[in-house]
Amino acid sequence: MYKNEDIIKDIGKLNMQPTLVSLGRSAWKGPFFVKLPGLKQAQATGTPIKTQARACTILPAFVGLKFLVHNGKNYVPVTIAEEMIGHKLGEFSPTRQRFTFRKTKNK
Amino acid sequence: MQLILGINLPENKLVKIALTYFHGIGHNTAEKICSKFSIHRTCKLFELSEDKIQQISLELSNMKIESDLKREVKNNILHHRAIGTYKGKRHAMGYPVRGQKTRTNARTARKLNGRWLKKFEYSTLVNGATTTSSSSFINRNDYYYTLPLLTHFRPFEKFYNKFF
Repeated sequence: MYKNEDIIKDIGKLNMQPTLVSLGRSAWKGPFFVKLPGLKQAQATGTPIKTQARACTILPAFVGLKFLVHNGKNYVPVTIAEEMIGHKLGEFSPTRQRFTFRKTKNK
Repeated sequence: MQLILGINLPENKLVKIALTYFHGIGHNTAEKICSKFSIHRTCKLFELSEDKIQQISLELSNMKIESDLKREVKNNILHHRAIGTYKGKRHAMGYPVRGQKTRTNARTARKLNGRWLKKFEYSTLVNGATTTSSSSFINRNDYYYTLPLLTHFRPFEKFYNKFF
């Protein structure tokens, strides 16, 4: 699990930045968070959590979990690292395909 | 020419204009610095006494300007690329990041975005480690990787621990 005390020891070595949670949202509300069913099970067994809640903030407790985040069509697998805390889940599953020219099958 | 912190400033310009020659100082901060040391708005740089110049250079050395600022900006972009966000991908492709249109225009983004990321791709290609440019991922050693401060989460731990 992610422990705050471990980081405080290394504060001299690492470059810390305030989380993106602090930007643009009043502090008393706290990070936006959606209730995700199967979180306990995921922490115990490591099964991926399938969600459509792209706007959910990544909390410190999510580190190491696997998510399947909806992008409008598919569920994109995302594993959470420490640096992702404070970002939203949706940032990691792109919703648009990159444009490529398609070769036509029938001439 | 007047040297302040290793940068040539034009002597014949107003102080508040000359200060904007620093990367990271605009008209707003330049005026603030002038008012802090009570420099008149029509005062030119060669009219300043040496004390004033020393005071200004001391003030500037505590601010985040020039190479420090550039490094921070670069680092923030590399952070987005390394964790694989949408923003980081747009930077790497050289497209606008904040939802602007790309059908026309987008000249600034094409010029500026992905400057540092393209260098990374080039270096990886030379080594022959990775073949496709889009899949090249940045190592943690390549930039000062940032960890989030958790102070914003701490007051709400009790709230969201209910759900675990």
